[in-house]
Amino acid sequence: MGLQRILMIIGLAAMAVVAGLWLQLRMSAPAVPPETNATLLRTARPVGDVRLQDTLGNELSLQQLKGRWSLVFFGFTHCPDVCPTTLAILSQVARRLENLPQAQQPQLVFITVDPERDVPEVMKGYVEHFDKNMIGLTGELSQVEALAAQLGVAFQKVPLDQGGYSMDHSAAIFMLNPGAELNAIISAPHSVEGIAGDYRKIVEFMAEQS
Amino acid sequence: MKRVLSIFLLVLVSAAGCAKSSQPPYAEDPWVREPPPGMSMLAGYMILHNPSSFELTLTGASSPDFAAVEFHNSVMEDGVSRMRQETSLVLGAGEALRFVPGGRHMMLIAPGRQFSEGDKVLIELSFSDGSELHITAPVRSGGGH
Ligand SMILES: [Cu+2]
Repeated sequence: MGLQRILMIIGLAAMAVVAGLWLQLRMSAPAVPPETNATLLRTARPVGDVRLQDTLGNELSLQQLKGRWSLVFFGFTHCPDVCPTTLAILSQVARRLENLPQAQQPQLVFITVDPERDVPEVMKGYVEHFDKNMIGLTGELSQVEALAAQLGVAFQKVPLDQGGYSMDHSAAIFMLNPGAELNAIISAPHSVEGIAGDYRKIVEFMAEQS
Repeated sequence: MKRVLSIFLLVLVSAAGCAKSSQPPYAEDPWVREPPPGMSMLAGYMILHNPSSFELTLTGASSPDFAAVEFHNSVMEDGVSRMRQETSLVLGAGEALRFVPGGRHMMLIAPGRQFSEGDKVLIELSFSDGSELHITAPVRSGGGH
């Protein structure tokens, strides 16, 4: 065996050891979740399917949100303060995340807790006002309730003095992964920087995990 | 030295006395959020200052362009957003009340016409002493600032 050959074997062995160590490190190192204000579920929670209606009145199952990350907010169109504020923030978040690869950009989803008044046509004008790509969903109250219950969204009708009613509703934003599973909950108060920053960290972290 | 001090104190006391001011309240940066089409309620914001040395109580508001104007506060309880009416608001001497998105706001109910960015909304605030403050709030889109 020539010296050259021995050296080559030693070299190869050393490379194999390094590669093995690197692999082991990558596989076994407990990945540290990013620091976020959002509550990250390290194991995404599946959401039972519901059938809602989009702004054109077509049936849309929650499963159809698969393929992209989603930022989901519940509210109602007769909400003059908190909902427009939040939707304006979400639309700015989407713009701020436009430098991510297309597949990692979020789809914005607004689901009404007041389907009685928020028929598809009303929802259409409302969501398009904030973002032309925003998905607006309404539907049977029972379907909205079923989804809300799964995500821990509370809502309640409150009569107003001058007639009509308002809705109390959870102000959290839900982050669904591309499998349409609940992956993180972003609590109010919301800010463009806060949501966009957490979103980036979470998407990156989950990509490393898989 | 004692004399200097007493003169100084005298000046200070009289200055404080003179400072009793009755400057009228004013609204800083009033604006109304551009509504999506067909909305029956709009929200208006501002910082309302009371530069006077007297407490002021805001008792109501109206607008020629709306059926009613109310004061509301969006509050968060256990992660749930609730909107509650406030019938009167006290402005302490030298204090300011902030009307901001997601918090206290003027609720403009049942518009008489459509509003879009650049339009102006006239709002009249009334106080318990009988005084009034007229505000012109431009309509703006988006989250505010
Ligand atoms: Cu209100």
